[in-house]
Amino acid sequence: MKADSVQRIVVVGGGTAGWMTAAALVKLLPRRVDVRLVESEAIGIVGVGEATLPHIRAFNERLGISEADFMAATRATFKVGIEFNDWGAIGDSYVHPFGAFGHGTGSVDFHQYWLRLKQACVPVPELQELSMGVQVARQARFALPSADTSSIASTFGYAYQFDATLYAPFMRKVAEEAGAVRTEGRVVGVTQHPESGDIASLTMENGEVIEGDLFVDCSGFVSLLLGKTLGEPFEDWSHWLPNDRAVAMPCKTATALTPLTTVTAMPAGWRWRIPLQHRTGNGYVFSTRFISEDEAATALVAAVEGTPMADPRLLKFVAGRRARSWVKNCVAVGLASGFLEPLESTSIYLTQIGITALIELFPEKEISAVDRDEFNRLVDLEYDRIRDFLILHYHATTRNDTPYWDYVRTMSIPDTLADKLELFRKRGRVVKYREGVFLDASWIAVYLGQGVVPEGHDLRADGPPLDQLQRGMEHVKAEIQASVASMPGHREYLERYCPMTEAM
Amino acid sequence: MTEDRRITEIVVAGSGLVGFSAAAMLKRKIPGATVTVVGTAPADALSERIHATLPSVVGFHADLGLEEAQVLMGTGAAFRLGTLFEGWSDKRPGYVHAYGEVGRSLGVTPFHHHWVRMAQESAARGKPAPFDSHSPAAMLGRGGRFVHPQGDPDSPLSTYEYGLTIDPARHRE
Repeated sequence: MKADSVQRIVVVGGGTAGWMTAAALVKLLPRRVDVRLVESEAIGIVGVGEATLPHIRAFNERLGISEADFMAATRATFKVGIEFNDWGAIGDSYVHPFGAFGHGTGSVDFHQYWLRLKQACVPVPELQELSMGVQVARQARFALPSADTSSIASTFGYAYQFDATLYAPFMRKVAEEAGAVRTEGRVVGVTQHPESGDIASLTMENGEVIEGDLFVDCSGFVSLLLGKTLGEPFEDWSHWLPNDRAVAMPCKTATALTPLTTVTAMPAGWRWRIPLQHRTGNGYVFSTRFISEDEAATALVAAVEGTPMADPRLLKFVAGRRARSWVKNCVAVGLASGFLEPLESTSIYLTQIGITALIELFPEKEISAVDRDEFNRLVDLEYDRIRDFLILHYHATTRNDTPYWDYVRTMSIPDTLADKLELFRKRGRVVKYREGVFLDASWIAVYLGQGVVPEGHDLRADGPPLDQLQRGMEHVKAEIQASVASMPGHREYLERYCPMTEAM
Repeated sequence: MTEDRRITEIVVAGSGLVGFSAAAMLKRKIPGATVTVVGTAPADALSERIHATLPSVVGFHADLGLEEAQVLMGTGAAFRLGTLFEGWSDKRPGYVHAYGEVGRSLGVTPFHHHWVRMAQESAARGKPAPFDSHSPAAMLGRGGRFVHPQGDPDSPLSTYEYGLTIDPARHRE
């Protein structure tokens, strides 16, 4: 690689994906790229993604972004987990936390000891009481996790909930300050090199022609470059994930400012509730096969906790992904590469790993197929694993109160998920992944929260005597309660650490 | 699993090093089971003739409740930090594959990328030292020395693992 080969990168589309990409490229590859982003104020952004995963902290840190500044600018709150209501059955409630159960250490998983006690009918606290993350969230407290790995206060993580319409402008400032150039306007044409089919340039509405070496498609669902120009096929997953609309509406916060995203199952989908510093975000994600758009909007307005602050806004989508996200010299990031409903806050995460993988496999002017194939392997794996994880939430239900729930309860599921479910049902064993976003603790939280109870357990958990284990469990519960009680309230922490700059 | 579906009798066929290792671990980890070892060791088993083990053997012994000093005294085993490959690459010197980190990451980028960059741009500066010279374990091994991994996470002496060179017959006993 020659040091003087600067590559011209053209990013199509602003919004979260476009500006995250531009900012990361200029900050992390300063002498290697020339970044130009084209966007049109006339085209709205989706900008509904409001909750995130802990990985976003590493992304921000790598770009030298201060957490407090970022949280104040985006009016963010902390997120320690997601509360699922009415999923396995109406009346159920469980939290999928960021963090471990018990102390999270040891060669035999903590939940195996818990299963042993349950199966032996020994009284034991619920697993939700044995998770630091769950308790911090449920009691609406917050403090940064301890760096001391021997402390129970180190066994949880956190992410953010923020106003997505403010995140893109924040990243735009970072990107432009580091040298990215923004061009306002609409793309009306795309030209390709006659032999290779690589994208050569974009033609703008005002006649300007923009050339580039590498094109990043952040044009959203329309997938202008990858989908429309290069014709990359779309793998449709709507038979497993039938939701195809979301109606979103902010309201005044009228209940607690929790470090939790709340996800409540509905007759034909589910409803999110995300508290931010200035308002609460809400949405009903649903399937038009089972409910109409009007009925869903009405149901949302009836369900929100406080005064609506805008009219309901409708979004359409199809669950699935492009067969490949990187084809020729075009890399799709964000909604242009695929979409999975935000049940586990994965959209911005998928954008982030696309950007990270692109930077780690950043090509030379002559793109090597090996880099491109590895990128696609990583991205496809993330999508497919998340897809299976989401399907689990629907399929592991006893609900039979509407045709929607009958459908998801009885549909056939991917073999990859069926195998994992069978393994867990037998003896609570979770497939150990090295890659992919959701690791053991997440799968365990959802399996047990959804009522998938194993018949057996890991025999190695039979070692210690039952009464010693029972005392150990009570001790963990007490440790957690004491640690949580010593934390400030979530709202109090925010007011001290990162209050938003304008009053609303 | 209900009590009556539990396995209570395990038979291990083959009394070589592999058979006894399996029997010892099963006995220790499966509560309430009897373990019987039958048969002879295979006459020319590979595992009876190979002396090198990987760092996993250290964890295996610990899991069996064995003290390392006890193992070394009882079997005459020695430490091993890796493998020296001589003559495998035509014009290049021998290299050590050691069990541990080589160099240190600079920022988020793994060390080997920096080494590769130096090797490629060596015309101006001269070639960097051989890759394995940046590995504490490899250099200890080449020098015929050994210490247990130690020190805080920043110390180069904390970044490697070790296996054992064993005498299979004595180990089996």
